Amino acid sequence: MKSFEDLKSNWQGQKFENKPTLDLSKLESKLSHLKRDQLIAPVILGITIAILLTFLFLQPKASFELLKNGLILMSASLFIRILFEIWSILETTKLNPTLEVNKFALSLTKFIKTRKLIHFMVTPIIMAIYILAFISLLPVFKLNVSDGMYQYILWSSTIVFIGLIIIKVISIPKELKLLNEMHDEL
Amino acid sequence: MNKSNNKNVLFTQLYDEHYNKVMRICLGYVNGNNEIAKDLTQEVFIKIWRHLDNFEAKSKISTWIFRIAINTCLLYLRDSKNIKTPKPSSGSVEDKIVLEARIRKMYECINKLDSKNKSIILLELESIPQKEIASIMGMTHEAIRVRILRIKKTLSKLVME
Repeated sequence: MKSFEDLKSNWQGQKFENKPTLDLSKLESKLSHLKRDQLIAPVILGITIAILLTFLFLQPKASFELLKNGLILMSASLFIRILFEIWSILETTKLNPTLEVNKFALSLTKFIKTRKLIHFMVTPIIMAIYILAFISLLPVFKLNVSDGMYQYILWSSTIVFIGLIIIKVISIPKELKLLNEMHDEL
Repeated sequence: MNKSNNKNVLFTQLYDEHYNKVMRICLGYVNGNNEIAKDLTQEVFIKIWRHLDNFEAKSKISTWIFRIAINTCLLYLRDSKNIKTPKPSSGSVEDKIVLEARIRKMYECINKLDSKNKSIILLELESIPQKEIASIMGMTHEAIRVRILRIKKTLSKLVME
């Protein structure tokens, strides 16, 4: 096994002269940043709900009746998404990195399995409900806004929806790869 | 000295003692990509800082640190795919080039292992005793011994090819 001992010595010969200087106050601030970053998605979704509902309640009675089903459905689907985001944050916090690697891998696998369920079942359903609710509002928009504004709403939303679908389709195989790898090992 | 100062002193000591080892483990996980490994190493030390108060001394502190390092790398894999091996630095002298090439080859070979074997061999490369590796991984000493023997053979063969 002499060759492995050579490899080991080569490996341990790697030294890192540019070791970053330790700044404990930066470390503390990075910790609070990380906590804050996790809340970005739920906050954005929450603001969107607030905008949708404010828009709805500012409408005159006639428009309110026409818009209410679609907008409430859109808000409800976003609200469900927020609940899953919060669940995801709580579960990630529960992943204890000080556990033995086998136990950690087991809890990570469980977590990813549920995420898989969310990716394949919940998210597509939520997105479909949101898009269908939006489509149901298009005739109302067509009658009540200018043609230019209508075209803007139609095309910008189409681009956003397609973008979101592409992002989802790309992110799923990454998680599946690790999940399958871990399944093989456990 | 108050509790907070004690924590700072202990943490600084751990950082100085373990930085190179943690960095090499992270490098092994990310196919030798220096920038990603640096970020991961930083993340490992953030977690060490965050959990240091909860360390119960049931195991050696190095065992605890390597657990955090491996688990952080495992979690990182969830968000990564196809990490490319960086190109060698230019203008090196001949023996440095040979050494760099060998280490690069090691990264590539390590990257072909599944994540459990990858973790085990990265710890073995750091000369961590097999009993401690078993405690880090949550496996029996015997299982670790057998695996290490097998991976060593494969790795030596692949790198020397």
